[in-house]
Amino acid sequence: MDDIFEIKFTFEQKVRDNIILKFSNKQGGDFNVFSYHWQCFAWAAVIGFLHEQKRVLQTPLADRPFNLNTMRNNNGEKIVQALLCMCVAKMDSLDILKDPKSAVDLINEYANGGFYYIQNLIDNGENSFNDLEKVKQEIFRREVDLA
Amino acid sequence: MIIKNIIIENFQSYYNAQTLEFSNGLNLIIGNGGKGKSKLFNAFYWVLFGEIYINDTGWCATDTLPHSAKFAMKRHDFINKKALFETEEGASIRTSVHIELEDDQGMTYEIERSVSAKRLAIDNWESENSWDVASNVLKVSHDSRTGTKVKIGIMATDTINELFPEGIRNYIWFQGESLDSLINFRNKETLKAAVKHISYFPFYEKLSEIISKSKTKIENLETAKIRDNNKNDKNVKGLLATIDSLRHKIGRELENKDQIETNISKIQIALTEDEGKMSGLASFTNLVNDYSNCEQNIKDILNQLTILDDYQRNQIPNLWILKGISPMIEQCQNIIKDHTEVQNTIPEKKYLDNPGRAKLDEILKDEICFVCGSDVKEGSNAHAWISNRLKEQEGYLRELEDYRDNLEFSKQFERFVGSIQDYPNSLKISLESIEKQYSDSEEKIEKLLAQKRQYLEKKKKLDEQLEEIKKKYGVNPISQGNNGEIIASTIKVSRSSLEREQRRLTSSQQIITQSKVELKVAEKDLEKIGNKRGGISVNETEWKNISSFLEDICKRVQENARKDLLSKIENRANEFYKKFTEHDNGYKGEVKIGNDYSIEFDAGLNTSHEDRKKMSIINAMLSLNQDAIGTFYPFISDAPTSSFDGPTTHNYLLGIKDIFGQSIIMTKDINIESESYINLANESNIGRIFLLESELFCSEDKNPELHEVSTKIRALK
Repeated sequence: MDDIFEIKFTFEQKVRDNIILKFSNKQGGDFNVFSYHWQCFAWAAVIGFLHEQKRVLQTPLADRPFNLNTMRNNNGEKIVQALLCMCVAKMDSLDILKDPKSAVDLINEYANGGFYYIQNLIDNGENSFNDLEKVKQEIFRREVDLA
Repeated sequence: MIIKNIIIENFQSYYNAQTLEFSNGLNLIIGNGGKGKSKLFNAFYWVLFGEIYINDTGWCATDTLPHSAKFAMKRHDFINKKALFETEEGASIRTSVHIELEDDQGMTYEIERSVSAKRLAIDNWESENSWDVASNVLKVSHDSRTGTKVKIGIMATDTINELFPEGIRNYIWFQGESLDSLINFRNKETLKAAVKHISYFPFYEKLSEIISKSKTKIENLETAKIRDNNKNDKNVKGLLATIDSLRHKIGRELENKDQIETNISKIQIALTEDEGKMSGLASFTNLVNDYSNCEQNIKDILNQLTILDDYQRNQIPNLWILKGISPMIEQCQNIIKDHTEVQNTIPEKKYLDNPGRAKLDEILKDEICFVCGSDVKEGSNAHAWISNRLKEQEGYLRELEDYRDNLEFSKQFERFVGSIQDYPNSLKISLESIEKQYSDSEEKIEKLLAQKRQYLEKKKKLDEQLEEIKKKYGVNPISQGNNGEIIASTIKVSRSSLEREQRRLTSSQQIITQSKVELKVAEKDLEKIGNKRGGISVNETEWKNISSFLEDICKRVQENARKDLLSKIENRANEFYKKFTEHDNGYKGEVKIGNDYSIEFDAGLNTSHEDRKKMSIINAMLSLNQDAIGTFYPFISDAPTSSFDGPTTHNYLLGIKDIFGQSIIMTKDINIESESYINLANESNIGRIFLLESELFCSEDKNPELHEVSTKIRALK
């Protein structure tokens, strides 16, 4: 059985260029909303899972820069737990975890859906969407949106 | 002199050629900020003197732009942007201002200044490198007895200097913001300079000077002749040498005394200023404390806001992005629980294999239980139970087989499930805290922002108070609070210098008095010799006596005229000031001018009253000058009324319309819809009124680029 914590995530190149770089510093800085690329990825995955936005990835794909261990080692333990739990909940079975690669693919696809959802918010006139206030609004208006 | 019209072409905000016609009396140019008032003022000044006014820099010649690194205005920046934008590569654009004047003798002058700029590069029309701007060309044409004369260059400049003497320019063409430099209550030299530039008083000084110089020459001639007549008389020669020497001594000492008096005056001004600063610093310790507390509180709030901002920035990626996923976590928890329960029941399931499949198949086949002998026919409860048991057994056996076949994988997977089974519980606790963390931190931020607003409001009020203090005492107690010792030591030095200069003055006065006495004695001795044997009195003696008499009269007249002028300025300034403050109910004081050119500073008044006093003094001097010399200049001012409220502006304009033969005032402080404007427009002596607006060369819903907007002139009267 492969180690699910070691399998690297991926995302589309244009997602990296248009969203991740807009919201996160390159690595570990502290100016943007997110310090690390994986944090932006996790945010998109949560949005994808919440809004049922699953989307198959289109090439070209970006390099595979991080895995669950990267997250765990950088204060993202809760994020790792949440991604795995949401994955199980969506498939309604633990069996998805018997094939770690397919579990990671599933998370990739939900994150991809989440990224498109974010891109849509940016395209719809939210030019300032990459600031802290707008991200807070997305998070704390979720129940309203979902209702 | 009056200005009849001005034509402005492609100059600053004026696109193409636009004309304003003026008449006698008050001409008003009304326009909100950014509509072109100051640019019009610049056009007047530029056509005459080749300079434009730039905030914080002052008057700058356009031919020398840009003249410093910190001053970013480029060489072509005074040319209209739209006109620049439309000029094609290789083509030239022309900027010009033309005015027509009529002097007091009815002679017409046409003055035009122009500049041409060639576009060098097609791309980036705003770049300095894209333009070759020529030097400006000045042309003056005017009527004369021999016909129309046309002058260019230096000759044209000379004509303009004759029309508008340099000393008077600042008083008849002034920007509201330069008022302080023209009249300053703490510096009596400003009023002295104003009197020098805009009054008839310098004529008295000139007259006095001519008489004194003539007297000296006559005295020299007289002495030479007497010496010549008494070549062989040692006594006379000795007395003449003494008289010569004493006169020189008195002359030198008078110059020395003037210098000492100038020094004393300078020291006194500096001393008054420094004492004002000290008194300002000493009186506002509470204000300084309030200010520094206020600044400290704002700093603390900003620090706390930074901490909260960091906290939120930290919580968002690590936890808050998970908001709303609780139902999925709950579901996952149930799935793990079900799985674990199944795993826990595996040992119990072993009973499913007992009795074994063969025995059960046999019972179904025999339709009777071999243990208890019960009937197991198809359709009976017992038959259904055994069939179901067989299915369960099949499932169990398959699971068992799978587990045994993938024993290593199965163990690994169960270990993995074991490792994640606590995730949901741990997550649920964290997820429950998100909302509270967020609302607590937002509430704190809101409170801090409210506090910050309060402190900023307070600081703004303190800043206003400080501005007032700075104007009254010439010192900012906050930024110069630590300068107290320096100012104190400067005061000490100034006082000791003042004492020293006063001692020198006393000594100089004694020398002059003593020398004058000695001179008198020598002159008497000479006179005695003359009375005894003649030869001492010559024709020039009579002239000397007349010029001495005239000098004495002239000095007295001059001094009386000076006092009289200052008193007239005070009276007329008070007439204007009364008019300016007609609507004020509170204390407004009055203009008081001392014989030494000092203007009494009234600490009970605010800035608006001070400005009105200053303008009253300037207006008084200009109108007195007009009365005395019979020459009047057009009074042109940009934003003279910016510190005034509505009624004060109204009264200011009512006051000014009758003072000057022609005035051109640019102001934003008039609402053309208001009743007071309609009343003003119908008053006598109100000439033309123009409204400056923006003309857009793009659709109105679009924010225009610099080259898409220019000034549009609308004549209202």
